[in-house]
Amino acid sequence: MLKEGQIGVFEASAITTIMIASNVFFTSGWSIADRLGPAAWYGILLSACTALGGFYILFLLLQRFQGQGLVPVYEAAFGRPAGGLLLLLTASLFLFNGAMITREFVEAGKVYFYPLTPPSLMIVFFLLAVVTLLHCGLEVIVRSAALFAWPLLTALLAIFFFAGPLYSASHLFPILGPGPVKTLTTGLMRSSMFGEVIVLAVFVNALQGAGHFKKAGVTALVFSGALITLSAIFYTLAFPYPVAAENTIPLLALTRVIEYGRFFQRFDSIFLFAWSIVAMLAVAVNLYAALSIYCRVFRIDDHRALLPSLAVLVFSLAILLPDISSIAFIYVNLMRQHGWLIGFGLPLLALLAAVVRGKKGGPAGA
Amino acid sequence: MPDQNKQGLFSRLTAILAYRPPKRNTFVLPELKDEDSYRVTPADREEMDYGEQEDGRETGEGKGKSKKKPVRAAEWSRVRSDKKESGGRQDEPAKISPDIKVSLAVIKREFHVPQNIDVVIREFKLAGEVDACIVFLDGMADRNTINDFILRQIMSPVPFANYRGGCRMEYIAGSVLAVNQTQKLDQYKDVVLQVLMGVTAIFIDGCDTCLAVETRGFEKRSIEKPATEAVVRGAQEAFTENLKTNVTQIRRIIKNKNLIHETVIVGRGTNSLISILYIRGIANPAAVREVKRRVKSIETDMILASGMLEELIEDSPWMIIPQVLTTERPDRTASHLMEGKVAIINEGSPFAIVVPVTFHSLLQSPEDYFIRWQYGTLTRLIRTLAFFMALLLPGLYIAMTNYHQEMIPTDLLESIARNREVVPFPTIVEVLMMEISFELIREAGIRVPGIIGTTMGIIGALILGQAAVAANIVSPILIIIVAVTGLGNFAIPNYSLAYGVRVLRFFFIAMGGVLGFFGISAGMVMAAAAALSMKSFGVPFLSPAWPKGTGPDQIIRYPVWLDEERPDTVNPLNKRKQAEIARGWTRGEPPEGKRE
Repeated sequence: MLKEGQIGVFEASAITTIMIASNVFFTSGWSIADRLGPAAWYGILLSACTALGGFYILFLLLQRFQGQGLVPVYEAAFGRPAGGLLLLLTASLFLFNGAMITREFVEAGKVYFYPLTPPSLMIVFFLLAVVTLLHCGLEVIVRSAALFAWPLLTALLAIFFFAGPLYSASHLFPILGPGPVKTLTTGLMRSSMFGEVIVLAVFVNALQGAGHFKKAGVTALVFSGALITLSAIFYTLAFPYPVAAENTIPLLALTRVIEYGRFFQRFDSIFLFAWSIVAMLAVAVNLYAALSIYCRVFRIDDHRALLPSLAVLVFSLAILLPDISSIAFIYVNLMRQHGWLIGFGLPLLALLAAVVRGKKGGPAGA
Repeated sequence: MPDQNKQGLFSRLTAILAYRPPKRNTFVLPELKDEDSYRVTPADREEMDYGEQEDGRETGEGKGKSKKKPVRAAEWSRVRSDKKESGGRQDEPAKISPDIKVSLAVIKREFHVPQNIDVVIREFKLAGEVDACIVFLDGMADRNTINDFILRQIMSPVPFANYRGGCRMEYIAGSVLAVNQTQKLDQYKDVVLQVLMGVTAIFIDGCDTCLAVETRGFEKRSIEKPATEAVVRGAQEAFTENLKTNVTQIRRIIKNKNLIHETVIVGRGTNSLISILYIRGIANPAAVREVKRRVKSIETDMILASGMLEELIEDSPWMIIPQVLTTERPDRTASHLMEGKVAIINEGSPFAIVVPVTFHSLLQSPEDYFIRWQYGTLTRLIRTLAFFMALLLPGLYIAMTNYHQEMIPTDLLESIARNREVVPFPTIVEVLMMEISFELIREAGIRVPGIIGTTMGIIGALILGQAAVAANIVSPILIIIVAVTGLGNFAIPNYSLAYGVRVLRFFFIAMGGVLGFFGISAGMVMAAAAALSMKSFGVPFLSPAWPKGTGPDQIIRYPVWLDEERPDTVNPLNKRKQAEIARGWTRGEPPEGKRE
C-alpha cells in the first residue's frame, strides 16, 4: 500500500484551495469574464454554492464507507472492474488537468515573459520541480502548499490592493450582466472549477477521518470561492467589459497596470513567482492524485517507480496542443464546462449504486 | 693517469648518453594479498611484522612471530578457558589473572611494550612485601599524583600497619590511597581502555582485579572567548577540547541533579569519548534513546571532530543544510538542554551538537535573549532577511538583468546599462567571477593566521573590487550585490547553515541564469520540498511552522515573561517552563507606606 503519512486540516485545505484557486492565475478568469461580464463575480459565487452541494454528496458517500478512500469506495459501489474503469477515468482527469496547466503556464509565460525560450525547455524545468515534489510524496506536497499559502495569499491581496486607483464602481453595471438565465446556467456548469475538491477523497486516509475531510473540504471551497469571487470583482472593477473580455490572463493584466510613480511600476515580474509556484503545486497535486489512484487500482506499492514514465507522459501531453487558443478551447471550454460530471457526478452515481446494491463499509474494507 | 682521465671523460660521456639502471632500488609499497581480511580481522593485522625491536632484538623479515613471556601451563589453560567463556580471542586472556606475571605479559603485549615508549610499567613491592606494578601512559597521567599519592603511599609499609588480611586491593582503595576516584576492574580490555584515557592501573600479585586510579593530567587549552558566536552582553566563555571542562561548564550553568551525563566510546582506532547530556524529566526519553542508539551504532576508526560525528548521526547526510545545531557556547547548549533537547559533545572538539533542531533554531543567536525582546525580534527579522539575501540576491540580479528588465525602474535600468556597456562578459559570467573571487578571499582569510587574515580579506575585497571595476571586468553595481550577499551570509549565526547557503546560492544563480524568475521559483519549490522532507531526529525540520504546531519564540522573540512553554516540536515531558505569571511581584501590593 502507498504510504501517504498524515496531513492536517490546514494543509489539506491549503493544497485544495491552491488547486482550485489556481484558475484565477490562468485563462479561466478571462473565459468567465467574457461570458458573464459584470455578473461574473456572483456567477462564481453560484458555482461555489453548487460545488458545496456536490461536496456534500461526496461526504455522504465517504461517510457510508467510513475510513475508506475513493478507490475502495468506487470498487465496492460499482464492483472492481467497473469501479476500476471509472477510477482510471478520474485519474485521467487529474493527469489531463496537470498536463494542461503545465502547457497553459508555459504558453502564457512564453507570451508575456520568455518570448525566445523554447516551450520544451520551460516544460522540462517545470516538470523538474513537480517531479521533485512527487518524489517526496504527499506529505511534502501538502506542506509545501501550507508553506507557500500565506505568501501567495499576501501576493494576491497586494495585487488587489495596489490596483485600487484603477477601480471604478461603474464597471459593475449592468449588474445583471448577460441576464439571469445565462448567469445561472453558466454558474451551475462552472461548478466544475471546484470539482477538484474530489482530490480530498483520494487522500482521505491521510486526513484521519471523515470529520477532517468535511472540515478541509468546506474550508477549501469557501476560501477558494471567496478568492475567485474577489478576483472577479476586482478585475471587473478595474476594466470595463469590452476591455476585460480582451485580456487572456486577467490577473496578469491587473498586475501590469499597477503604477505608483516612475519607480513603482510593472509588478508583473514579481507576480511570476506566485504564478509559477501556484502552477507547480497545482500540477503536483493533480499528478499525485492520478498516481495515487493508478497505484491503488493496480495494487502498486511505490509511486516513485512510475515517476519517469509519468514525466514523459505529461511532457508529451503538454506539448501536443499547438497553441494557447487550442488550450483555451479544449481545456477551458470542455473541461471547465463538463468536469463536474467526474467531480460530482460520479460520486453521486456511486452513492446511488451503493444504496441500490446495499453496499456499506468500515475501515476494514467492504 | 692521463689514460685514466681520458677513460674517465669517455665513461662520463657514455654515462650521459647511455642508459644505466638505477644503483639503488626505490621503495615500493606492496599490495596486501587480501586487503579486506586484514580489515576485518585485527588479529591478522597484529600478527604482521612491523620490523620493530622486541626484547631488544630485530624480529627479522617475513611474517614475524610475537615473542611471549613463558607462562605456567596451568595458568595458561585457566586464562584460555576464561577467554573462551567471554567469547574473546583465544590467545588473549579476558579476565585479570591473580598472577601478576600473567598480567604483566598481557599488558606488555597489548601495549606493544617496549616498542611503545609512552607506556610506563613500574614494578615494585607493595608495602615492601608483595609484587605489584602500576601502568600508565606518560603524558596522559599526572606524574605528581602518581608519585605523591599513589607510589609513596603504597610502597611504604606504614599505611599497611592496620592491614589484617583479605583483599589487598580493597584495603588500598579504602585506606591507603588519597585520591578522589578509584574503580575496580576485572577485564584486561577495560584496563587497557582506562590506561589509554590517562588512568593509572595498579596490579597486585594475588588479586584478580585491578585498581584504576583517576590520574588524568594532560595538557589542555584554557577556556577562551567564542570565536564564531561572539555576543556583546552574554557570557564570554567557549568550549575547549577537553570533555570534562566542557561538561563542567554546562554543569556550572545548570545546577540540576537531573542533568544526566553519559559517555559512549566510539572509534575503534581512537577510542574517542562521546558525551551525551540531557535533563531527565524534561527531555523526551525516545529522543535520548535514539541519540544513544545512533551514537553506539557508529563503527568507524576515528572521530576527530563534531563535524564527523554530525555526518554519522544526522538523518539526511546528503542534504546541504545541516540537521543538527553545533555551538561552541556552554550557555547556548544549556538553554537547549533546558528546552528538552539532547547535547552531544565529542572529545577533542570545542563544539557541542544539539538535537533535535529545527530551521528556526539555526537562525537564532544567543544574543537574542541577552537583549530586550524588541531588539531581539528586530535582529531576528534582519537575520531572516539576510538569509534570503545571501541565498537569492545574485540569482535575482541575473534574472532581472537578463529576463525581466521591465521591472527595473527606468533610471536605474539606464544606470545599470551604462555601467554594463563597457563590460565584455555576460552577467552570469560577471557574477560567477565575483562570487568565486569572494569565496577565494574568504577562504584565504581563514587560512592566513591571525589579524593578517582579516586584514587581507578586507583589503583583498576592496582592491580586487576596485581593480575589477577599473579594468571593466565587472560593473560597479555587481560589487554592491556581491558585497551585500557576503554581508548577508556573515549575518547567518550558524556556521554550517551559512556554508549551506553559500553552496545553494550557486544553484539559484544557475536557475536565475537559465530561466529568470521562473527558474528561481522552480529552485525555491525544489529547495522547499527538500527542506520539508528533512527531519532532525524525528522532528520535521521546518516545524513548528510546517507542519503546524504550537510553540512561540520562532521569528518573533517573545518577551521572557510570556515565553512560558518549551518548544512543542521536541515533545518535552514537562512542557511548561515557568509559571503563568512569571513576574510574581505584579500580583502583590508594594509594602505599606511605599505606595504611590
